[in-house]
Amino acid sequence: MSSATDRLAIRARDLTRSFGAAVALDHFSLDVWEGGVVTILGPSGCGKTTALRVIAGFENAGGSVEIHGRIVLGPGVHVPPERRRVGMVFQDYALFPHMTVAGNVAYGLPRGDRAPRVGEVLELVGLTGLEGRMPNELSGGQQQRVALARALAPKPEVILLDEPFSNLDASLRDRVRRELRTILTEARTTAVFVTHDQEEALATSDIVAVMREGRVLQADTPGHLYSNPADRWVAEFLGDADVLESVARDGRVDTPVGAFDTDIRGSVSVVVRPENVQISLGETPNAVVAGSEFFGHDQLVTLALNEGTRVRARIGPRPVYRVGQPARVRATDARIFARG
Amino acid sequence: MTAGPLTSRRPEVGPVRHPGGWGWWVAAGIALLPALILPISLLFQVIGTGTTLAVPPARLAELMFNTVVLGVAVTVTAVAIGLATAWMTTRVALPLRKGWMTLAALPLVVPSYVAALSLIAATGPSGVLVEIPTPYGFVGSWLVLSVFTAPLVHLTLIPGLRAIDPATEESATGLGASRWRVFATVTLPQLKPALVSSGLLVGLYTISDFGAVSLLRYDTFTRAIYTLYRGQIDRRPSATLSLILMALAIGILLIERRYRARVALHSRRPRRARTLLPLTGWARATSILALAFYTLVALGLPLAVMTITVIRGLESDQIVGSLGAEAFRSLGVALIAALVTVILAFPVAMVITRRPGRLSGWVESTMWGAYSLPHITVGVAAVGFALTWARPLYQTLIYLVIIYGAIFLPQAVGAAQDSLVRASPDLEDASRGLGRGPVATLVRVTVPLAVPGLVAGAALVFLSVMKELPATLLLRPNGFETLAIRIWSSTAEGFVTRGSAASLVLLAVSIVPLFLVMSRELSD
Repeated sequence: MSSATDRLAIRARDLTRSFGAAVALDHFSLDVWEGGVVTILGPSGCGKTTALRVIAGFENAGGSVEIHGRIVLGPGVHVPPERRRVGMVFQDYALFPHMTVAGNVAYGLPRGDRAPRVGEVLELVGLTGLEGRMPNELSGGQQQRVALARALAPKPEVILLDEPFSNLDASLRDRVRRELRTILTEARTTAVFVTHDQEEALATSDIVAVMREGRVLQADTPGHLYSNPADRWVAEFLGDADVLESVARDGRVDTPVGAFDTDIRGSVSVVVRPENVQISLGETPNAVVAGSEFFGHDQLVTLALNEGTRVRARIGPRPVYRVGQPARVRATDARIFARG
Repeated sequence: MTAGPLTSRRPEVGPVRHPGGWGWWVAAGIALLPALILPISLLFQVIGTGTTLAVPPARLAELMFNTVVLGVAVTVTAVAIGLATAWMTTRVALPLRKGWMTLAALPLVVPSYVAALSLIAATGPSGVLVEIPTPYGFVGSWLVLSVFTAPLVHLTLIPGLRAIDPATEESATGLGASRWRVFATVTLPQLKPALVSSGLLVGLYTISDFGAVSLLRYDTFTRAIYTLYRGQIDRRPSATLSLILMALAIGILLIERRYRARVALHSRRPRRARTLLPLTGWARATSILALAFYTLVALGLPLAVMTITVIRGLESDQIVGSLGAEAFRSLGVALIAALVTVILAFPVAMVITRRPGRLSGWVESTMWGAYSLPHITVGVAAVGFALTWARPLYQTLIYLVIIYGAIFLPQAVGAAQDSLVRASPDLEDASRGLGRGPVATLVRVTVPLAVPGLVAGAALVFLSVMKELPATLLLRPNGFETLAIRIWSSTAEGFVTRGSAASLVLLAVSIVPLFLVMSRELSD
């Protein structure tokens, strides 16, 4: 037990915080392993930024936070942010407008010989030569990297990033995201991201913690999370999904798109991802084609089932279906959740 | 499970973000202490010694009538002038448009007593300009105050005019409305909150004015208060009138604040730049002539009249007097007051911008309330307070500086706020996250970012203190003669030459801080 907790970079337990009547954190708990990249993912307003700010110490909350085994928040304990050894990258970067790039990066370093470390981190983020620039003379992507360099310079134990890509153009975002991941791996820093972008979370993280209404619903690797969501909400939040209502009995649930095994009894929601839906034309039709969206590498075909509901199928670019064409629809896999 | 519609950013209003921080509240409270104490002390002076009215009702009615009539007349005239100058300098493609914009704002720095002095020096039997009888009383006061408060309207309406989306006016034109109809039906209605707000400001300024009405001998509240204060040992009559005038001023302020809120609501900056009205022919000539005439009357004439008066005085060996000591006192006290006010203002600005909520709302209202009080009433209240409860402070320089700080606090707070609002609190958090404590963060991040605002605030306070007359008159140490006092007392005693010389010195030393303030005020 103790050897396990030793390797936890962040251990947050039961963080609770409300602003007036609005609950921002409701027993929020999260473990972050040393060296890991964890993303807190949730819709806007779910309290994810508050969680980050509580870990950094900018906000107070009930519950406890340990950083590398040291209690920084707990009953009677509130270590101020400047003594937590946590780096923070803000959504709008928060670069000091009255200091140069070098001044910004050197800010968190102890007095004395700062120049070598400043050069080192600027090289790491690929901004060598821009030491003398003022923040307003930099592009959005450059400002973002200065913010990262500034946070990395004091060699923090953990680095927290609040929606770091939201102020970047879509074209720039993917590139910066990959670069950032590389930089973090090189710096061997534990990182916690906050985002509301599912794709970004799944692509960048070792672990994704899905958050809703102030608490973590499920934390797991992206692959496992996607294929084994803990509930219907997580399933629908993490990508395209269609839901069929049915009743399970005798270890089975029958749906228009197939029968599935389950331990649940009674009313259930059957969640089907489009990539697990197949279309065939030769057999007895149970649906008609209602429309399709074409994406080049694949297409998303919407089918109206004969009993009323709709399901979508993600298939290859061919064949092309006509609207109104009868078809047989079958799901190869589904997740089943109790209803109510 | 009850999570409401939270924003993804942290809420604007919430409990104190960092534990601690009560020090700011204490410091802000100290800065506001005089503003809270003085009106209460005045109330005690009025009701403390008896229940009968210390001033005959007939006299009260007369003063009220005179004050209100002057207030309304000046407001109407100044709004008309200010609307014209603001519209012409923001909307018409005139040569040197920005220059006219600044020039039309400049008369604001001419104190009302200097304006009155130039009217007195220009007219009368030995008048420099015309030998007509000096228009003492209502006419003179109305003229002087209208011309010199119009820039208040000008400065309020410029941002108002800029905030109107050009597309609204263009659509009206596109629908076939004439230029006048566009102005009357689209521009003016959108400008209404700013117009009402600026009009109320002029009204407030007028009923508070002491310099012009005292020199031009028009019987308003302020003049009567001073006469009673000087002439009677009993301070109750002057305190009574002061209390009534304070109530009037607060009433106007409350209405003004409601309108200001609407101005703020409407002042979203339009995305697209506007095209200026290309006037030609007589319309263009009239616009330029109107601006030139206003600038000449409000700036050229006073300067010319006072310069000629001084030259004539020197030629005929009149005593102009050495003004070095007065200038030194004015500069010194204004500098100290500016420094003290800025130091007092910083925590207040921090509380208002960084800890928004009901309490900081009260802090803000109290501060603006004190700012709107007529200075003569502040003087009466402060004298009463010192004589009753703080005798050692009476007629000391420290007390004078404290009162200046209480009166002019919002000028420094407002300027500091501008800077602090622009500096996101994330910057302070970033500094804390990088290992710097609250004090280091304050010194290295917050204060450096606020410096431009603090300097501008100091310049504004400096200018105001240099010009301040009524409170100085009542509170100054014995024999502490500043330029403002010198100008007023010389003119009141008929020594126009001495007054003119002191006025020119006062205007000369105001130039540098003036440019600091103006460049901020008129920038886009």
